[in-house]
Amino acid sequence: MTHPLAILTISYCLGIAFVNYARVGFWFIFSAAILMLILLIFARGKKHVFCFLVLMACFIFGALNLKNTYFLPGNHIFRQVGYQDNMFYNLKGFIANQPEINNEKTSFIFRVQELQERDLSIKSSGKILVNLGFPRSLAYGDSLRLSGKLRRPMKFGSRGNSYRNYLYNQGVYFIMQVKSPLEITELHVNQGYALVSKCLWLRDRIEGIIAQYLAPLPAGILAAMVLGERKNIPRLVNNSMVKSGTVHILVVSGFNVGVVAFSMNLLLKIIRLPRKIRVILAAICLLLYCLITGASNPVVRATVMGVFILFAYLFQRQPDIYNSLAAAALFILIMNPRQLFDVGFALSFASVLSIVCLYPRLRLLLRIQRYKSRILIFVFESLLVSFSAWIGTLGIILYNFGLFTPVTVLANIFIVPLATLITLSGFSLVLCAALFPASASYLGVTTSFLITLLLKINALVVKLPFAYRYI
Amino acid sequence: MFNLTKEEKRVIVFLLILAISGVCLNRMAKASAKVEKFLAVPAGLAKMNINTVTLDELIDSRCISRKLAQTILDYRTLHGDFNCLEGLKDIKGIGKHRYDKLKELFYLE
Repeated sequence: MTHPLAILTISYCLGIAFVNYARVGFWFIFSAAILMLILLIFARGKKHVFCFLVLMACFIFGALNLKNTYFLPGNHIFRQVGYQDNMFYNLKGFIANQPEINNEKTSFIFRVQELQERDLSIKSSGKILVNLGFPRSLAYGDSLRLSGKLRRPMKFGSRGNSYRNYLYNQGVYFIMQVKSPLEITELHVNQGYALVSKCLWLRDRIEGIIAQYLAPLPAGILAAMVLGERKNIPRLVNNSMVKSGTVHILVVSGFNVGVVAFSMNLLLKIIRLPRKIRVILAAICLLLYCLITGASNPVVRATVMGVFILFAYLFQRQPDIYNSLAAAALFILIMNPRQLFDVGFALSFASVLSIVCLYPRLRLLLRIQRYKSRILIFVFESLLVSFSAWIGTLGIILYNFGLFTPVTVLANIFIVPLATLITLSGFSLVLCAALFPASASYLGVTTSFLITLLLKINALVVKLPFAYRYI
Repeated sequence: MFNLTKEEKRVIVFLLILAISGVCLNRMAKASAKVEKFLAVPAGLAKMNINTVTLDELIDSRCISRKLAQTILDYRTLHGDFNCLEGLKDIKGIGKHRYDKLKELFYLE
């Protein structure tokens, strides 16, 4: 087997998909798992049978893991609160993510620890989404007591991807609306992980630097590209980029992770550290960057792949892109098997897989190397990468969003190199502002100019005839 | 003089290009209003002019429903151009919550 991890991951994914669509009980799958393990012990000597049984075991593991996520603990809030009983609840717990303030409203994920119903106080668990109808300065880990009505998320959305399912996949089962500041009490205790708190503090600092040197709109775009923070991107800009198929540049992805790994390696090289220490420190920086950017699916994928490649380099082994990609998928799906049905997960992996599989074949087929001009080769290569990613994600986008965007291939030829430049200059701006603040303003001007250029090109491309079509 | 590797040289050149371009752009923006306008993000890219926007543009933005777009334009035809964005609140069906969302979409020239 050339890509063993990839095959095991496919088997694991099939197990998850099977259980999602077939009605099979947990204990039935558990019995099958025990049987499979016994067979595995007996089949150790038989190579092919053993391989087949390992694949089956992975299949069952996937099925079992998904089934397990459906069972909530006895003290989970979903089990304690009745369906739409419209009652006021008092909850104690702590904030589980970085609160967002938008339009004079604050929202965050709240990890419940205690539920109070009339005079009864009971231990509770689970996550809820809290919407405060007013701005409030809160931070990750802050311990709070909240009062308000709990309701289940609405089931709006298209083609099976409802908002409710989206929240359920994140482990969020209720939404609480807190209308008055009197209904929230800060307990002045921080219960979050210290490392995450520090990373989020650093994220705030970086956001502050970006906002200091750029105008609001370019700052919003750069914050999305460098930190994955999309709250300041106007809807019009976002929708325009969706139409041109270039919205992927507004999320932190493999490229950003690559830039961090490269920059760290370079910085450590300058101070002449030995290779082993350099690689280990670069891997640690990748993990920190993953936390800073909120550990979304594309970042986790890129981080796991990056760490895999770094360690292959450390142990002087040839890194295999399929195995690295499979390791990333397996890591995410073991943590939360429901992510398999998340559109973001599908888009992230489909695009990378498509580029990895399709691009080299197209390149060979079209014999690009015969061209003498390096610029022409670069243009053709960019076109093929863009085309591969577009083909890979076309079906998912059509099914989920009903959008067909032929202009994507053309748009990406201009937008992706520009986005690369912006990301690089964005990272340079942040580093310069921290080390040499005097020179940072000039970097800010260039970055701002590049972002303006990107927005103008995008607006132009979207206006082309047959650029996009909603189906 | 400097014992730099290939990558280090590339990084230094890149940073210098960024800084020098920044200085040039800054100088040009100070000297000419046209350049300054070119360097700034046009308001029309992130928002729509509430007094000139058409029904097709509103629908095409995918930010508001067809019905609401039609209501806003009907109100504009009936009452004339908006003097301030707060005027949106006078339209039937636009409360504080919806207005908070709409004000991010429009600008007034």
